[in-house]
Amino acid sequence: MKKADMDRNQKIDEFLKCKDGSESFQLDEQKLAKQILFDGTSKTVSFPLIRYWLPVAACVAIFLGFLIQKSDFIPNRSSGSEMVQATAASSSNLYLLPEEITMLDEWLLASPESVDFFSVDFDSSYELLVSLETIPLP
Amino acid sequence: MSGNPISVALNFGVKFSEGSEISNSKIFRMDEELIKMKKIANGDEKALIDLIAEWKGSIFAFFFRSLSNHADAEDLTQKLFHRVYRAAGTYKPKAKVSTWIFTIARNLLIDELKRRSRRPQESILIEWEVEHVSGSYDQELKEILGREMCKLPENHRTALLFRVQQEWSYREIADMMKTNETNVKTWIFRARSFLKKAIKPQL
Repeated sequence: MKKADMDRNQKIDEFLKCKDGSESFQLDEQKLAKQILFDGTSKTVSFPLIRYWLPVAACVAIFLGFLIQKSDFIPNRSSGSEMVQATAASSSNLYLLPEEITMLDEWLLASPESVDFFSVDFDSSYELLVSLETIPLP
Repeated sequence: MSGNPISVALNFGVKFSEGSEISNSKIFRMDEELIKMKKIANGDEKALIDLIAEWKGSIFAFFFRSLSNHADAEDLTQKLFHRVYRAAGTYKPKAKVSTWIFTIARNLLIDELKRRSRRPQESILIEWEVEHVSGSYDQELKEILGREMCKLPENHRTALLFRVQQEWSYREIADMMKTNETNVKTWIFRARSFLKKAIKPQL
């Protein structure tokens, strides 16, 4: 029983030591060493490229992208302000002379129903349109 | 890199506790190993050739018995020397070169096993069939043991291989595998029992 166990252990050890397998392994160490050193040299060359220049290029790209995006927004902002200015200018063109304002006031006061400017329906307020002279008088 | 070996060892981070006695031969060995690794890191072809010649057999045996595949073992052996060359500059004489190399080998093996687990099962089976060259009784025994080795958990198998192939002590194996001696003993005992059970009908 003990002998059989020892025999099994011996067989396992022989198998694990793998002497025949190691003998069948033919590796040319000189060739491998040359290849390793060559790969090492080529990696040394590419190392600064990966370690330094690639992140720098990425940062520059991000910065340029940011600038381009910003420059896209600036015209939008300027066009918006231009629009406000244009609206202000067009509304300032609708000025009335003092006598015209007085006349309008009198006319509104003389109207049979007082005009409530908050509830007035501008779409149907013929009088208001007349007063603003946006349509020719009939 | 010449001079007093103790000062060289101290320069590279070896700590000598007060009252500890480290033999001169051990320090010289550490010094020699360190010098060799520094030479390799600096691209010394001869030192690299010597290292490959010294370790290729045992590294191949470790991979071959772990994977039961000749081609994969060859491939991993070559990969290992690439890694050793890249890491040679970081070698510290705190551990023996053998422990350091086999730590790298084990990491490579674990990576390979992970890769295999993601690979479709059929391709592994085909490779296994290539390994099968039926013949004598011994060949049959090897086939059975090879198949059973693949079934063992990685830590059980590695501990057993280190014990048998490298003849390391339980302490050394435990340090290398970052565990305690009791675990190592248990793993080796279980692995051996499993293999013995598998070949019992054949003997």
